[in-house]
Amino acid sequence: MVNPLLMLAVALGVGFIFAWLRPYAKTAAWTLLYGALVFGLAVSIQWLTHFVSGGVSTTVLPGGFSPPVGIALGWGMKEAFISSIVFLGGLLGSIALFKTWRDTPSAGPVLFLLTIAGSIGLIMSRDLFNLFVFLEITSMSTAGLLATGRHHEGAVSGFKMMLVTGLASVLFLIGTVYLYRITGTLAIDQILVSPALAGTAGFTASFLIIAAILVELKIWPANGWALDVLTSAHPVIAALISTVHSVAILFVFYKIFPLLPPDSLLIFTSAGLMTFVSAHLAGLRQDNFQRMLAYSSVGMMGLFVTVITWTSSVYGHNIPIRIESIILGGFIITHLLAKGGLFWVVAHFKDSEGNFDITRVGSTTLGGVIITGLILALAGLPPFPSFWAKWTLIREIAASSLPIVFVILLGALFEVINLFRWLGRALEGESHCAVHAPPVLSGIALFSLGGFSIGAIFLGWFPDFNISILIPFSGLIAAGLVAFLPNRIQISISILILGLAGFALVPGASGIGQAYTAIILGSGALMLLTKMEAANKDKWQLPLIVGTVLTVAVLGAVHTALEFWTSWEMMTAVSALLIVRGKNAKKSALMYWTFSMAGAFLLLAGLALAVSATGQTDLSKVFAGAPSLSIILISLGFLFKAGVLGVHIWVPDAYAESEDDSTPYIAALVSKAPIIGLILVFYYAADAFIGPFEWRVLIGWIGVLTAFFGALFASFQEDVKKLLAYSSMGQIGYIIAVIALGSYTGWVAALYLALHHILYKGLLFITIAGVISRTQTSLMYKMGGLIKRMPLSFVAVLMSIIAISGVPPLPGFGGKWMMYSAFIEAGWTLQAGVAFFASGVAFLYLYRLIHTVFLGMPKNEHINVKESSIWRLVPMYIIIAMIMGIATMPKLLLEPIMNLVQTRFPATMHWEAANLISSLGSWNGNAIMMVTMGVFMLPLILLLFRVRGVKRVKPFNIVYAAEKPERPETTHVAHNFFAHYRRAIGVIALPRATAFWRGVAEWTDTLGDWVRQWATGNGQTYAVQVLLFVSVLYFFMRQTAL
Amino acid sequence: MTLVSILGFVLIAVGLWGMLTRRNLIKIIVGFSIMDTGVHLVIVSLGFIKGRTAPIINKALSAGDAPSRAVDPIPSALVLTAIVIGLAVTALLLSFAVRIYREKRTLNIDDISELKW
Repeated sequence: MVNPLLMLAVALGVGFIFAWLRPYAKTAAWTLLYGALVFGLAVSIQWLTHFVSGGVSTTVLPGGFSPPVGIALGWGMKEAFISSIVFLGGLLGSIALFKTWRDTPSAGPVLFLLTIAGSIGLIMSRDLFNLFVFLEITSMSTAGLLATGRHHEGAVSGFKMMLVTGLASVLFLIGTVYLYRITGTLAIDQILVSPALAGTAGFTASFLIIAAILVELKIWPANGWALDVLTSAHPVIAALISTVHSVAILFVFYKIFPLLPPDSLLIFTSAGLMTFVSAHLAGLRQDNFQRMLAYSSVGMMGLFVTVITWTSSVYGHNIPIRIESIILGGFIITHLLAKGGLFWVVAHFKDSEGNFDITRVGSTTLGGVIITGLILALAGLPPFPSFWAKWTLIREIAASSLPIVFVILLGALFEVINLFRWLGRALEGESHCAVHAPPVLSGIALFSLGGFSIGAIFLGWFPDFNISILIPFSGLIAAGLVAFLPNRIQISISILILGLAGFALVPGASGIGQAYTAIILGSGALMLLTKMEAANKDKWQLPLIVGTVLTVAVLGAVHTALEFWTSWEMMTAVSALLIVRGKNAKKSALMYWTFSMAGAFLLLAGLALAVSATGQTDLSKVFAGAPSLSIILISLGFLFKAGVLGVHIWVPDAYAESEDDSTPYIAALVSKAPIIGLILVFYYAADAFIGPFEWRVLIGWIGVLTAFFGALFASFQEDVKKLLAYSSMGQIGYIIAVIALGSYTGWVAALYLALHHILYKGLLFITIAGVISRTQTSLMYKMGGLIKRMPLSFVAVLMSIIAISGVPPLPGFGGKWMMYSAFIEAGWTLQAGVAFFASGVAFLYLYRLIHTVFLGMPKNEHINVKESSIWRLVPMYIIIAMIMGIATMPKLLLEPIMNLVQTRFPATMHWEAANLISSLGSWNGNAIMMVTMGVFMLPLILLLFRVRGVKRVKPFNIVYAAEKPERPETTHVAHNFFAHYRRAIGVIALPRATAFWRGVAEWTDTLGDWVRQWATGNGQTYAVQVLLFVSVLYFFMRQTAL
Repeated sequence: MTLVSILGFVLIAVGLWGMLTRRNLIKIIVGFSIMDTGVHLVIVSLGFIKGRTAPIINKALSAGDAPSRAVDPIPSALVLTAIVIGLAVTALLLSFAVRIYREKRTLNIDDISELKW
């Protein structure tokens, strides 16, 4: 094995030789420079593999003497890992900087190597004064790097940095010499066991050292200088400071924080949490991407401090290596590659004047894929290492302190909102430019590390995770790889992918989950047929649709809590990416993402609490034994995602602004994810909802009120997609209400309604997408009279509104019948009344839908529109055939559903031939179909004979004398169709939830702005903040330590 | 606490006051230097043992006598390194000040706070 000290020596030596050699032999100088970095990386990795395979940590004595006479350098697995990170970051960064360095000779390369060498020194050294020297070396070399830029901003921020770190190093130095005075040694390991450390002097000296490191770690509020440094530096240098240098200092903190008594750890944890939350809060207000990354870097440091001190306070000195590797390792790798990668992206896409426009990044396929990957990795989504880190961290913390979980998740929510906002901007770009090596490399490295984390699962780090849960990724990638093929071949392959996924997932699932997965995949494949009609304008839409269908479907095939959470996160991310592709969908997608993520984090908190409380991994056992609080959190998460009343404001925009072809998948399929979630949680944990406080009654009320208001809001929409979106909200409300009943009839009704919702909402959105693509508008008052132009679409809409409204003979009737029966059986008569009223209101929007779009006179511009293409009509009519089939023979579908539900509740309904008998009466779908058809046929035949006398009327707009309408369309009969109802009951349809959430957003924004203003830009203010921070910290520390 | 270390802390306080209250970059750097010198005095004073000699082994002080007759040599060694580092930091700060003055024609710290928020 190579002596690790050589890495340091080679880097330092080459730094000096480079400066001397460069003027004479350029190639040799550059070869040496990169050679030193590659050498360091190779040595670190060699040692890392050695330690991973059981090698023992060693101590290097550079002077040949042991402490206290000589200096000791520690070298073990952790050191080797961090040093690999340092050299990897250094190598990638130096590649990114090569062009800049080559074109403008400066001390840059030498200072860069010095920073790397100093960082290695910080990692290895176990001597306090030696640490001080390396701290100063890295401070000065990074400050020097700042000044190598052409702009004076580098010098300004360098000055501020030296001012603050100079102050910190004074604290460090005084602490160090006093510790030496008390303990007689400078070696950390000897000081730690010295009895003199326990006294007041020992405490104060140790405090000074650690406070200095916290300042270097950029802990809030002593971090304004760091934000300025990271904003003004060349982005690659900023990446070096933010990742390599900061991680090395973090390791110093890791080595020295045990100097203080364990009681004081909570103070560090709090300081870390405050940094994490405040950084992401202030980051929300940034319109400079690099400064946003600066805030994100600072936030990450806060999280690191929290993690290190918190795990130590729980486990003492025996933190399990698995926990440490997953949490710290996962976050550090992500920090290096994802945050470093984003800084590199900024470096590459800056124009000659130094301005960065993120829309340029997403304009190329590669740029789009890479920035999506980097941002999703930073946001902690699967399969990236940060995802596993986040899960393990939250699960571990939930076991002892739920408040910390909530604070972390709040900060994380700010972070993911912010990241997605920038991603949305990046993906709407149009210009074209190439992506150069480092972002590509880091992108590739990150994706392979995603693969690595999958490998880790194989290694047994996550025995509660089955690899088949990642099938959606394979599907997404496979569909992405064929994106260049002709449209129809692409769609055929996509359908094949769904089929193969079904083959892999369905046999492994069981019960309701199995049926759910099969139905989602089948409906997805059927809906995909509609895309055959025209050439694909957006080549990423199809892979994302495949990904969305698969991620929704896989939820039915999960067995453990971790698998469920993974699938949930995948589904949230992929569906948000699908929505953001809409033309004006940036804001709607952000809203969808925000509410989905808030829901997902509630779910995470609940699952983590349940897993740690039960000690189980299996979803059924986790739910069954979970404490009530966790079940409530989990249900809340599902209700957020379902868009129930109060958190519904994302629903209409997300549906309306996503591409017309994507909406059916969001509306019909993604909306079922919270339904299967709620069913699972009620299935296993029904008892948790019945207690001193009847949660299920509350959820039931939320359900019926969602149904009522969904219907009401739908009635007042002008945009047909928003109408359907609110309609979906209402339908989901019914389903939630009957699930909450927790009874046999209720659940049969829920599953039956959910299945129908997939069918008719899919049908409606496919049909309406066809109408929109023909008429080029989604505003209903701009349509009209399309019955003659698109008769088959008219029939499809007619069928689906009959199905929705619950009038005989279509299946909605059976669903409603069971729903009311279930309500009445359970004694929920008031809820039944509200649901009944909601159904009445639903007639309003359904009538409006068919009336304003298809009836009346056609508009001039729509005289020549054609019927939807055959590729759309075939799936439409397959669905209609299925609806008719179910209506005629409901037993075929209901019997399996009843058998499934019977595994949970004793049956209260049974079949007698074609009659379904409940405690309240009976329903014969077959007979009703026959009777209705008969009743329908007679007038139809009569009408056909009388059709000759029909007179045509002209379009008739309502305009009053002397009225001067601001917009001509407001005079259209179909505009503000239900104005009279709005006048009567409009007061309850005011957008109160929107106003509330807008208020929340504005307050958050203002708070973020306030936090942001701490960084005044004045170096002296920063120095004062450091002093105040240290004083306040000392005050609190003394309180806990004494 | 010896007189030297008290003086050291006084110098640290004076330097800090200068760093935080002067607006001129050069004066701030002077403040930093004073603070640094104070720290050096504190370090040296910690190694001092009354009645003992400098830790230099020569004719006057044999290696065998050193532990009983010389002051603690470690703080002296540390302070040498600290002085070198302090010098480097001061030089770097001064070079930043020169650079800032060349481009912005100002040495007032309030004029260089455009990077913020």
